Amino acid sequence: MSGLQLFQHALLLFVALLVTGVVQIGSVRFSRGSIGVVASLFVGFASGLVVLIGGAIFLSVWGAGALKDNVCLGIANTVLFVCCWYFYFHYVNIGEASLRIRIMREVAAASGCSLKQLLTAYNTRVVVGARMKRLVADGQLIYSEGRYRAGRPRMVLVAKAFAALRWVLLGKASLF
Amino acid sequence: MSVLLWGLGVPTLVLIAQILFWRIRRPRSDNRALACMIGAAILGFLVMSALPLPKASMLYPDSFWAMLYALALASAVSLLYFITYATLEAKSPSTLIVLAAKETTEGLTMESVAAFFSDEEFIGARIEGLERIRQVRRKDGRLFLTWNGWLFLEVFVLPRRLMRLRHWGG
Repeated sequence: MSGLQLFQHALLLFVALLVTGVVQIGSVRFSRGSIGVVASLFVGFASGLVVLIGGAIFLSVWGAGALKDNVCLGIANTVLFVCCWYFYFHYVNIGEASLRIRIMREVAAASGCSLKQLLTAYNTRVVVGARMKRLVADGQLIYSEGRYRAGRPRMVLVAKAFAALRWVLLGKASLF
Repeated sequence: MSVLLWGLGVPTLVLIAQILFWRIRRPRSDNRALACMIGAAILGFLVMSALPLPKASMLYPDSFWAMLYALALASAVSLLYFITYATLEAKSPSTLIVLAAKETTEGLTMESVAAFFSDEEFIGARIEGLERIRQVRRKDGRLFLTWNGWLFLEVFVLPRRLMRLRHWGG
């Protein structure tokens, strides 16, 4: 495995990650609200993955080194890409969904405030309202006749996967 | 092949070791214990790479760059697992709402969901946490951001600025 071969794959990974970030930010910025933050993260992921896989095929045929090594590096790059996207997903999503960040923004905007003032601006009803609005926009809750019902099961599937991991590691599936 | 073997093999070993140790006795500070296990596994990999072992085998990183790539892969996968493990017992409000909606046939109202949570659980506990890690301080009954808190906030607000989002999230 040559240094040039590794450099080509590292450069490809960098380009794919750059495309992911640019497409993600661009899709929110230029869609004027029609694409949500979480949806944009998946759009960015898909774009970066297309670049990565296309580039890996190109390097396997025309790049330096043996085909077998290029295929292995392509797989390693895909795993690295998924990891980096996962970190980016959490980084962006913390700004969108974290209660702590929102509390800090409220405190910063008021240049210092009492707990009572904070709770007037940001309380349980505001949190629940914002969450339910996002869940409806994402199709995970369906709103009809004044009631919210279960929609797309994506978050339920994630919760089940976490419950399975808790069972394997901690011997209990429940959160409570 | 060696990059894949070592890059994925090191985190897999950490996972197996963690399941075994945790089944015997779960550490009190489990995030710290897991971080130590990951650090030890990566250090072990680095030491093995530096040893004068026969490197002709195709299962061994055959160059410095291949070793660096394997190290990057092992670190990234381990960090991904660490982040996932750290959130394993977190009670996300959104997840709790979705699970509650799945359990009921007549549906939820905003009031019934809001009654399920309290300001103390949502806001009070988080302010205590922010004070504990010195990102917020209390003076004369008022809350202020510290320099650390301001820096932390700026890091996570940056993507929202780039996306030109006006709402505050949360």
